[in-house]
Amino acid sequence: MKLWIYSFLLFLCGIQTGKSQIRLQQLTEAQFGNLPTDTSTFFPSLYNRTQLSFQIKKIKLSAAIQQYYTPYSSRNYLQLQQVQLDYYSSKFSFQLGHIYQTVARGILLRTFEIPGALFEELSFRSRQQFYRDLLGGQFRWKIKNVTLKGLFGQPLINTLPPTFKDEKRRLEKLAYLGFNYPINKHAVEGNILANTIRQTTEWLGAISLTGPVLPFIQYTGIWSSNGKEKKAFYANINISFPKMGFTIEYKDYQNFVLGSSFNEPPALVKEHNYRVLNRMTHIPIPQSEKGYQIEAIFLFDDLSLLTLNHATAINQIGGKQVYREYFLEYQKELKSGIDTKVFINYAIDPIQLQTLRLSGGIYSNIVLAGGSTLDLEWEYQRFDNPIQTGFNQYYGIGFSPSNHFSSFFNIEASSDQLLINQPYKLWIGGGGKIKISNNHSITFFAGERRGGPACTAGICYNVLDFKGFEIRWKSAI
Amino acid sequence: MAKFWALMLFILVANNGFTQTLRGFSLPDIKNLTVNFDEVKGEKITVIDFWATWCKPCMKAIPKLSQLSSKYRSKGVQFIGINGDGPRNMAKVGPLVRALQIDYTILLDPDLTLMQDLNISTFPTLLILNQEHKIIWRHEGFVEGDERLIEEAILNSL
Repeated sequence: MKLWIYSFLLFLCGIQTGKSQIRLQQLTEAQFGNLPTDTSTFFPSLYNRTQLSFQIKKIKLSAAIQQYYTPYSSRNYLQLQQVQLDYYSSKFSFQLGHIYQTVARGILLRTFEIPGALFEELSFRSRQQFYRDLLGGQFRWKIKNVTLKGLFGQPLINTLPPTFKDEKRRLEKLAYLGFNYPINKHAVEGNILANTIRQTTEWLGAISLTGPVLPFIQYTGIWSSNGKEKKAFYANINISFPKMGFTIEYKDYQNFVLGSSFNEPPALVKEHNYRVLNRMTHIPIPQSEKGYQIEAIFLFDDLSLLTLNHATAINQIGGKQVYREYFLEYQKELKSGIDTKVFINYAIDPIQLQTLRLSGGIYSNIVLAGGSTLDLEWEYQRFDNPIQTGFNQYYGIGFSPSNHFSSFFNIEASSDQLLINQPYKLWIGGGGKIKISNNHSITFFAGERRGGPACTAGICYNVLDFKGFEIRWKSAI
Repeated sequence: MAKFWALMLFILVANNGFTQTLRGFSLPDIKNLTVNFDEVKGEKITVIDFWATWCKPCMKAIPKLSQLSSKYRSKGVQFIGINGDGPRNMAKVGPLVRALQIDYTILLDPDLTLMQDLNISTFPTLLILNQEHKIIWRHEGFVEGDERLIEEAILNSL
């Protein structure tokens, strides 16, 4: 391992030709704190991920080093990751090493890397970059209008930290072939995927059709099957006019958990940015889930934007469970320099035992004299479950005197008795961001931060609470 | 821990004078047809905006970028929007593009491969590329008034 790392650094430092490029991206995070519920003393921890890449003409070689240090040796590691050799041309490209690919809108395969997101699992307490890749190789070959794609690789089980050996974190072997062929402004896509685990191979197929069958209408259908055991159907129709657009999506997933869950069928429930909504979102259960989502967007002459969304998800888990959600958001520039956004949300969520969940909030961004900006944010949520009628609240204030510095202070409150064992709890924290240059920025946080489920880029994961001080340094050179 | 500090030293002394060059890319458009960079790049300069539907500053920037695209297209400037939404939100991109009347090419990059290729980790990020595909200007984030900075950078690049 050490030899690999030092050789790579030496390779990058040593090569300096007029046609080559070296790029560096790093994230360093130092924390001094603990979980708010942990009674042991605060402890320091240091995380760093540095990615280096070298490019000459059409070839790129990249690798990253990820490391984590705490006073507890069982949590610490130094890992070489994301090693990749990459060749690109408009007709043909290939990658070897740690690769990323999404097949059939994530129904068959979904790898991802969420920039800046760190993952910490309660049982291991070791922080790591939040990503899922494949260790193997892939190609793309364009022959006239037809694009062929293929890959082989082992998907990462990303809930296990790098303190585990790769053999335990990559149990399956995937092989994939697919094509994309345009016919009369439509694209036909066919995919076949084989998953081998412990000498047993499972074959899955998907076919999709995309394109304007009629003006402003698109249709996409994807299905997969393995005998009568597993199937997934997904379709969407888009209807658009100037200043308004509609999306209607339908899903039917039956027993569709693949291997170590290396796929991510589209959720068809809106991914919200608002804290009280993002934390309470419906996470699809691909063992048995049907449903639909309708979203409408309206752009008005004053450039204000109205978004309406409705989603229904039906699960068969110990009986029929029906999740319903209605959402409205309106954003408008009230007058020059004052942007406002309001939202309301109504949901029924039987999986979380909530017979009613009502949420609302208002966000304002005000440009002050001299170009500084003030952000005011408020969210409220009330929920009814068999135990209580509870609430979640969020208050935030942010001030940015220039593009180079911003600060924030926020308070969260909850009376959710499934999370806390007191009448209500407050999470109070604040911090800021200093943009040193286009290449370097520093963010810092002090106080208590509320965790819980979080969804970013369609991927949901659990974030742990934190109490203490945190500083992050990001660079891209 | 010594390895950590050695690495930090390396980062601090690293020269940041390199100019990035785009190798090119092949990505699907909103009709799922594969498009190469060469097919959509500008005659003189290309402006690439990395955005996502869930990113508030991105949505604020797009109407301003559309105005700049219309204004400078005849002068050899081509705008390209690279959408980074995952499969969960991908279906909403097409209607949003038409509702917002975006008149430049939008391509989908759910795996964020192009972002990784160019060391980009923030939405929105805007790049200006010259005819040799060199990145001659980079801007992260979007606040009121940034459209003037972008226009100034376009004029300086022409």
